[in-house]
Amino acid sequence: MSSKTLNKDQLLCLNRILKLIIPSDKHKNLPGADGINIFDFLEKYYPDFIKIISNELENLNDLSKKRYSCSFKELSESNTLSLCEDLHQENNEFLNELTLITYECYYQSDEVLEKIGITRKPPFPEGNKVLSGNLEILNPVRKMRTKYIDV
Amino acid sequence: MKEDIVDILVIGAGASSAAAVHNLSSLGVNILCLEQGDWMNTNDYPSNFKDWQTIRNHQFNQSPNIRKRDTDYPINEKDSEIEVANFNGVGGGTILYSGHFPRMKPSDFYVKTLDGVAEDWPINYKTLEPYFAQNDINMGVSGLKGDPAIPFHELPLPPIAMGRMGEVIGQGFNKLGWHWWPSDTAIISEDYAGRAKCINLSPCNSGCTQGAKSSVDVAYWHKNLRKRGVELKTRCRVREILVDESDRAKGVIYYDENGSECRQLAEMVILACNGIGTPRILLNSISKNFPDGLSNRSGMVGKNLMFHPWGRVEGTFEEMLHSHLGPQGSCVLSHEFYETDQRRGFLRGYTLQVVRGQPPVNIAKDGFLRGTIPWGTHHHDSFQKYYGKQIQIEVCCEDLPETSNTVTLDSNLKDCHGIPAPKIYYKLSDNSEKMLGHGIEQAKIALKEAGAIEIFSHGQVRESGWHNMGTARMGLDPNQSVVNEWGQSHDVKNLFIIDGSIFVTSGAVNPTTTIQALALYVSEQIKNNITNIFA
Repeated sequence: MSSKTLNKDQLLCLNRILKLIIPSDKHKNLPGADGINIFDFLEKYYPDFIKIISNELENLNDLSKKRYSCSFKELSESNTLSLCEDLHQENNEFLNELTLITYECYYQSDEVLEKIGITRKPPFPEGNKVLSGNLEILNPVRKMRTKYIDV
Repeated sequence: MKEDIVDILVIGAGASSAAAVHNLSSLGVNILCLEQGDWMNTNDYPSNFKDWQTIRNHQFNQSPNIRKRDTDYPINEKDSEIEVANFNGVGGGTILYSGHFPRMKPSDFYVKTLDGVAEDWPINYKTLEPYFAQNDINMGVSGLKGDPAIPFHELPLPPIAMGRMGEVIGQGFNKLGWHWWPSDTAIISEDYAGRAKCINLSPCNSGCTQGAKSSVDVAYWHKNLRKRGVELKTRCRVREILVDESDRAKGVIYYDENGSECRQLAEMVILACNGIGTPRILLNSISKNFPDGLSNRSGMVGKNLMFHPWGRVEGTFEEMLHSHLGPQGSCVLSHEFYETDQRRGFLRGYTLQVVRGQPPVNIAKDGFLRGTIPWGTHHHDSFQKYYGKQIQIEVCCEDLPETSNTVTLDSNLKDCHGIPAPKIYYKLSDNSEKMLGHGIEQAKIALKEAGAIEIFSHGQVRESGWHNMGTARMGLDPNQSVVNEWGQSHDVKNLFIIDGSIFVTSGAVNPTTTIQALALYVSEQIKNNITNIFA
């Protein structure tokens, strides 16, 4: 993971948040959001949001110092979770936006899509199979009288 | 040097224009079409790319105000409860449409007679029937004959796959004794007319990479341009239609691909710019004889704007339905509530359009916003609960015309050529509100009966202005309508309008097939009366 505008500490903090948003799942063999390359995605589609992340991480740091007397990166896992949950409860705009973008990136990651059963990737040369469906279940409808007004 | 004069000048290269030019090309006259957008390259469509779900929301967004291509024009819709959706390019709105292709019904043409509201059309279903059939063949339409909710018609191709989800919701409708039927769909289910069949790529409404969706660039324009005398110029935005002292259209002023102002003379002008673009050009065509806009002596240009008020109800099922696969916007539909039943508390009716489930990003983001797919430890389990297990029912309501719902010209907002942007004023009527509420409740009942374990509903959906109609309506009375029963302007005899703006009422179905049938019908009248029109 790399970024032109976030420093090492900020990257570390952001990774901790990403890991909270979508944690890995060993049983389902799914990676966490910290394991996908969200920065390339941000730089490509939401470059303005990187600056917002930088500013908001500073705010988080201040909040952490105020509440726990240590920087955000020094927080224990449980305190990190507690802080983020509180922000979520307050409907924190930044956290909401970050979550939506994280979801957007995560569910377009090759690794994730394969794990959730989408093995055919763009440009879909073979497409997807869809059952034609049993048209005999239309028989009750076929027996209906004309359903439109014939004028 | 003498200026070049074309016989027929068509403005816009969307659904109606493509069909009309196809028909008119047999005249052997010179036809020039000016289109403000580009030809689309299927290699550019989002589904070619890994991040297609994001690209779809940006460069291929249905809203020109978000998409902001240099070929788009802005729309002021601050005073509208519905946001306009369109696309500017060869193919027009069919580039992004879902290909859901139900016809309007016989009663739609007699709303005043049957229900005492709005106006009757000066033509009827029978008038358009042969043109519906011809258009189905020209476009490549799939479907199943025998639907009791519409006059009998055969389709050139068998229905598209409804999948397990179609069976599940169909059985739900059956339990209720309600009508349902596989949708007529402008997507080819088999190889057809040199095009390869649908392979269920899914994101139809961001452009079909396969070319199986019958957008008119692939279904019509490639054929049209092989006809002698037909020319299509892209990146040419018409500013105004010129008219002479004797009230005859004589051509247009447009900006070409370099932004240069050009004049093109013509013997006849055909407007095909949809229910927003058409009144915009007419209102911007001011002259001594038409100080309030061209063909606007009735004062009806830009009035009676109709959308389809829209509701969306999503059901979640325990069974894996693989509902995220298949043509996204088309599966089955119910006409159970189409005709008026006054006991419901409103006039006219609606369709219940069953569409596929959402792709992964939409599932996750929508789930987050409504609190069902949270971040944190339960995220993966929550996501799995919804993915591939959803059925959506869209409630498409008939909108009735009201003169207070309008397209006018914005006095401040302009496009990149300095042409005033359209300004929309639109409010849902009381009748529409009641109808929408009823439709949402019935959709919930259908989903529950089909076995849904969880149901969410939304409505009015603001981002649903795909169908723009009524703003230059057809009629026999020149004081109450803009064009006559042939699509010919009451005021300007060599000006024809062929898009959704000439609709008198909206029906409760997607309008494209009716728009194209109208365009074929109007162009047939032009062909049959060409000598009189030019005289």
